[in-house]
Parts: sequence; C-alpha cells; structure tokens
Amino acid sequence: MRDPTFQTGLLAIVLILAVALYRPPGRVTGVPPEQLWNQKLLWGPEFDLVLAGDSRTFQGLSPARMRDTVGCRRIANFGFAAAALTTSYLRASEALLDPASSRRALVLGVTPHSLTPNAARENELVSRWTQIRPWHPGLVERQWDNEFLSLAHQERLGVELGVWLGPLFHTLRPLRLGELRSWWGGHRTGYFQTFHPDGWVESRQLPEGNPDAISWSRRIFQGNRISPELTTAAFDWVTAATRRGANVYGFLFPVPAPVAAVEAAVSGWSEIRFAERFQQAGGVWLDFSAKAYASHDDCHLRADAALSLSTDLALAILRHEQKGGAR
Amino acid sequence: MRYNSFAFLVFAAVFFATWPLVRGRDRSRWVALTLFSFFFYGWWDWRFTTLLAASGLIDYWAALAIEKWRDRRRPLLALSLGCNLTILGAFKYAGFAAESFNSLFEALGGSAWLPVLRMLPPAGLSFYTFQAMSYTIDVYRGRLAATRDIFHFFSYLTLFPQLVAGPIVRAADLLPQLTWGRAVTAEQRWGGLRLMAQGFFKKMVIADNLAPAVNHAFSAFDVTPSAPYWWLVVSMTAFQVYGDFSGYSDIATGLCKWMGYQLLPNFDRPYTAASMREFWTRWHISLTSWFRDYVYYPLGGSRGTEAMTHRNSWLTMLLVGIWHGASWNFVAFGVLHATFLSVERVARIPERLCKLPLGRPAAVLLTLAQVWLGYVLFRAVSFDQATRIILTLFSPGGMDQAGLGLLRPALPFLALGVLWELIAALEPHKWSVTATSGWRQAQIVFTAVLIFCCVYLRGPGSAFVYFQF
Repeated sequence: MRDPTFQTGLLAIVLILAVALYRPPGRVTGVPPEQLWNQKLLWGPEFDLVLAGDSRTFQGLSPARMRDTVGCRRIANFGFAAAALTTSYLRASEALLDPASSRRALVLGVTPHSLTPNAARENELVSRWTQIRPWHPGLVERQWDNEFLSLAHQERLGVELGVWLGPLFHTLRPLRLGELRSWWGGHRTGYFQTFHPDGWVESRQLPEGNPDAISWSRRIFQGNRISPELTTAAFDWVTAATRRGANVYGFLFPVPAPVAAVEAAVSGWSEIRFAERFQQAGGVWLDFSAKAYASHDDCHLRADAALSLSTDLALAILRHEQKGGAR
Repeated sequence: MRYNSFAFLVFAAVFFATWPLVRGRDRSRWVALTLFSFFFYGWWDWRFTTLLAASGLIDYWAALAIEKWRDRRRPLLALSLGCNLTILGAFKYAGFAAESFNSLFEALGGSAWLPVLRMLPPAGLSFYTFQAMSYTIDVYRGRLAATRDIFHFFSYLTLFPQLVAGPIVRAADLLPQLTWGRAVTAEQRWGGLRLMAQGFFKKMVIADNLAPAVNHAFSAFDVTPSAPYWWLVVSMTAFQVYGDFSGYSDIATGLCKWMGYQLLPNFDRPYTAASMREFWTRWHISLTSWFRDYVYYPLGGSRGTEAMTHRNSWLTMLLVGIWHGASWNFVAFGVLHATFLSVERVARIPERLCKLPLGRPAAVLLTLAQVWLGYVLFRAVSFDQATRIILTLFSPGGMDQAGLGLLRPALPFLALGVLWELIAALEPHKWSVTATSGWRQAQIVFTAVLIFCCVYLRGPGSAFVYFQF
C-alpha cells in the first residue's frame, strides 16, 4: 500500500471514475458514436436499401422513418462524414445489399463536395481506415493504391473491440471546455446529436444558423472543384450496379438556397447535366427542390426536416417501383 | 503498434505479466524480449520483420567476423555498412534520388528516364539501422566485444520500447544491462511510471491537441498572409514535435525502467538553449551524439583549421537533415542549421549576448527564432510552401481573424507546452524540498493528475511524428 506506483494508479483510477460517473450527459445521446461508426464498418450484406453519402446523408435521412413509409424493408444509412462517391465507397455500399433481396436499392445523397478530389483523398471514412488498418480491401483500393495498406488487415479486431468497448470509450471521451461549463448550467448551446443504430444521426445546432456557411463553402472548393474523373467513375459504377440488378437512386441533397447557389458557382456543379448523365447511366434521379427543408446549420437538415425528407424519399421510391421501375 | 493504442495496452499487460517469469535466466530473457519485440513491430506489418531480421543478422555476423578476422576487419565493416545503407537507401532515398536526377535531366533539356520507386519505409528504419551500425563500428574499433548469443544481440537491436522511434541506444550502454536479471525495485517502478505519465501527457495532451491547428495551417492551399498567424503556427509546430518526440522517448525510457534498464536522456530542455550549438546538445541527444561520434569526429571534428571545422559541421548537419527524410525540405533544413552554426562560430553572438544584462533570455529567444525557421522547412509540405511561409514571417501584415479563430482552440495547449518547458528550466528535481515526504505525496498527486489528463484532455489521437523516420 505504501508503494507510490500503486498509490498513483489508485488515485488516477478514482479520479477517472469520479468524472466518468458524474460528468454531465453531454450533447450526444443514443448509441455511443464510437460504437456506431465501428458497427457500420462491420455491417454485412443484410439490407434491401442502403443510403450512401456524406454527413448530409447521415444527418438527413432516417431509415426508420423510411421503413414506416415503404413497409417492412431493411434499410441502413451508410453515410460517413465527408465521404466521397468513389467507386470503392460505392462498391462497399453495394456490398451491404442482401443478394437474396428482390428489391435491392441504393440511394446516393449527392453533394458537390462528395465529388471533389479532396473528399476522395481525405474523407473521414478513409482516414478511419488508415488509423485502424484496412481489412476491407474494396474500401481502400482506390484511395490507397498501396499493397501494404490494403493487405494490413489484422486490426479488424480493433473495429470489433470498438463496437464492444464503444460505450466505455464514450464514457471516457475527452472533456471539452463547454462541457465543463454545462456542469453547472446544463447545455444551452452547441451541437446536439442522437445516434440511431440504423445509422441516422439526428442533429441540431443551437442557436441555429451559421454565419460562416457561405465563406466556408468558398473555402472548401478553393482549388477543389468537382472532379470529372470521379464523376465519370461514379456513373460507370451506376451502370454496373444497375446491371447487377439493383435500383440506384440519386438526388441533390437540399440545402438553403444561398448556400446551394454558392456551392454550384464555386464547385462547377450543374444538376441538370449531372441528372442527365445519371439517368443515362441507368440511375433514377429524384428532385426534392420543390419543397424547403429546414437546416439547423445552413448545411445539414434539422431532425424534423430529415424525417420529412425521409418520408418524401420513401414515397418517391415507392412511386417509381409502382410505375414498374423495380428490378 | 502505437503506445497510445488499445492494442499496446493489452500487449504491455501481457509482457509485464510474463517478464518476472523470464527475467531470471539470460537465455529466456533474451528470447522473450526478441519475440515480444518482433510481435510489437510485426503488428504494423509482419513482412517488415524480415527486413529487421535481415538487417540484424548482417550486423550480428559482421561483428563476429570482424572479431575473428581482425586483419580483414575493414572490408567486413564496409560490407556491413554497405548492406545497411543499401536497405536504408532503397526504402527511404531511392525514389527521391531518382526524382531529383530526372528533374535535373529535364532542366538540362533531356527527358526523365530513371524509374521512380516509391516504397513505404518501414517504421523506425533509420533508428534501428543506425543502432545496428553503431554496434558493428564499435566492435570494429575494439570498444565492444561482439556478443556470441544471437538472442542477446537481437534483444538489444529490437528492444521494443525504443525500436520504432528511438532513442538510438548504443550497444555499449545496453548490451551489458541486458545481462542483468535482477528484480525491479519499487523506486525503479515509480520512476518509470512518472516518466511514462509525463511522456503520455506530452504526446496525448500537448502534441495531439496542437496537431489539428498545425495540420490545418500546413494543408491549406494558400499561405495565410499574416506574420503573427505563422509565428503562432510555427510555435505550435515546435511544441507539437517536441511533445510528440520527447513524449515517445519518455515512454520508452519509462518502459525500460520497468524492465530494470536505464536509457540515457534523449532531450534536455532544448528550448532553453542559448545558442544553436547548445540546442543540438539538448535536442534528440542520441541522434546528435551518434553523428558526433561516427561522422563529425572521424571527419576531424574541430581539431583542424577553422575552415575544416566548418566543413565538418556542414557535412554532419547535411546528413542530420537527410536522416530526417528524403526531400529537399530536409536538405534545406540541414543547410539552414549548418549556416546558423557557422555564423554562430564566427560571430560568437550568443557568447557576447550572454555577457549583457538579460542577455541569456535574449540569446534563448534568438536561438528559438532560428530553430523555429528550421521547423518551417521541417513541416512544410513543399519547398515552395516553406519559402512562402518564411517570407510571410518577416513581412508586415495584420492578424487574420479567420486564421486566429482556427488557432484559438490550440492556444491553451501551446501555453501548457511553454509552461512545461519553463518549469523544467527551473530544474525542480534539484530543489531541496525533493527530499521531504510532502514532495513525494505531491508527486503522487501530480502524476495521477497527468494520467487523468491523458484520458480526459487528450487530443485527436494520431501516430507519432517520428515513426516516419
């Protein structure tokens, strides 16, 4: 007991546990994020419908709400922050479809940023793979044309541990200054998120709005316009996926009009041209521009708008299927 | 395997549970150390363990051969060094050399014809290659007896705490220690824990919280035209690299203490140095002393004429720069430091400055400014970016508010890094109060708080900067 190493270890554990037990609930609720992100990486071919895209997709589409609308289907939101629509990512999304399902469908939540070289190079999904070692060659082969990375798959164990230990990691997550302040007064401002097991991340920022949204859009597309190669590769994949029997739907993720205008201007985005080529490739382009969906940070949808868009998307898919579009 | 990973936590628990069982007998100790170290290294990519084994076998046999055939020791040493440097060159420098050669040809009007090989260098290649070379050179010089036991040698070469990012331990320091089998004392354990807690704190709290701001600044397409912004970014880079690397060294030294071994300090408050010469005796000591003993002194050191001393210093610093990486940035890094050292030798500014009132702090600031400039070359993604940043550092320009906003979250951690170095400069371990029991209690609380901070104030985890070397 008089061993200083033991005394230090004991004191450190007491301090860590005290904070773990008494820290405020935080702005993040639902499934621990560490668990959900790792769980997504472990999903198998078990879905009828997969939603793919970046943070606008994982914040903006609720599989549960879509299920309520289209009836009993297995739906997953496979969106990742800043994910690019690279062939490898699209292939990984397609791999989640159950081959035995008669109504296999993929929905691409398209954003101009998801077609840029920077997103393809630096998206968070890929950076996660570099941290945990890629064991899923399909996901990394394009970004990392590197045998070492694609073969170093021994840390799949790490992903599985991430799922099991996710709640613990979440409890031991770093304390932020805002969180320390909220110890006394509760959370009044900030980014509030509820992680759902189907991949939807219900989000709300308080206070709403983002005065930097326009300048931010200009900044991220600086020297980073939409890549024609990436776009062509995505269309090629759409053709191949539809030939393999899946329905591929796509739509431009709705954002407030001023942000959409700037994004289009600085990224080189043209919805008419993209939709035309998407349909020529065999996909079904959906249009949700007639209705306004509220955004909480001028980029991502508020929870109520996300639910509304999920319903509209499910209905659009149903309508297409009823017209005989199902494969 | 990274120290700041869950995998390492499990690995360390298994190793230290096994250690008391194998420590007692030489052979079992060396075999266990070698196997655990290879596992530690192979966790990253098992194929690179073959390279580590090959490199080690070359030096193990070369040293034995040098001892056996003393009359042929020179070609044997050349063969061993040649093999080591070929491996190092192929993995680290071949692509850069071919690319530079091609560029030169193109500039002269020809067309590029050398194939550019881009091989991912195994983690820590430069560290263990230098360690292996020092062993063979010391045997060649007759300063060390070659070990006959292959596991004794490999337990030295691959000892996992320092395998990937140093310190570069000399065989003369570690091989004899590896013959010790005695139990670790409570005092050694406590010392090891304190070092590890400090190391993890410097890495996870200081360096990892500075990393996002630094990475963002250097990955931007345009160089923000603001001198104060870049002075702040470069200061953050300095403390990120220092926290990261000295943190790793502290953890390695602490782990070795838990095995009962003592590594020499690798950093000695480098940012309190009052001259560039002093800086290089305080920064990455194991590397600088390696270059001093195996390059600078054999070249003649400072024993010849003034011109020869400058030449030796330039050659050594150039190699130090290239050791860090295969790019013109690192060549320029070496040249810049060599220039500073030469100017210092001629002008003796720090010496003169230190004689004035408040001269020492001024000399420290002057040294830091020079070191900071070196960091621009060290961290910039291209030579062009480095040049533009250096020009911005010395151009007038107001603080860019948007830029400052991005740096703001990292500012407390920069202040923490500065505070850490300032306290270290006061050398608290020399205070008379350290002999009291109250000091021991304070140390226990302080170390527990450091561990607590590693959990709750950690930054976004990332690999150690020096792994790439």
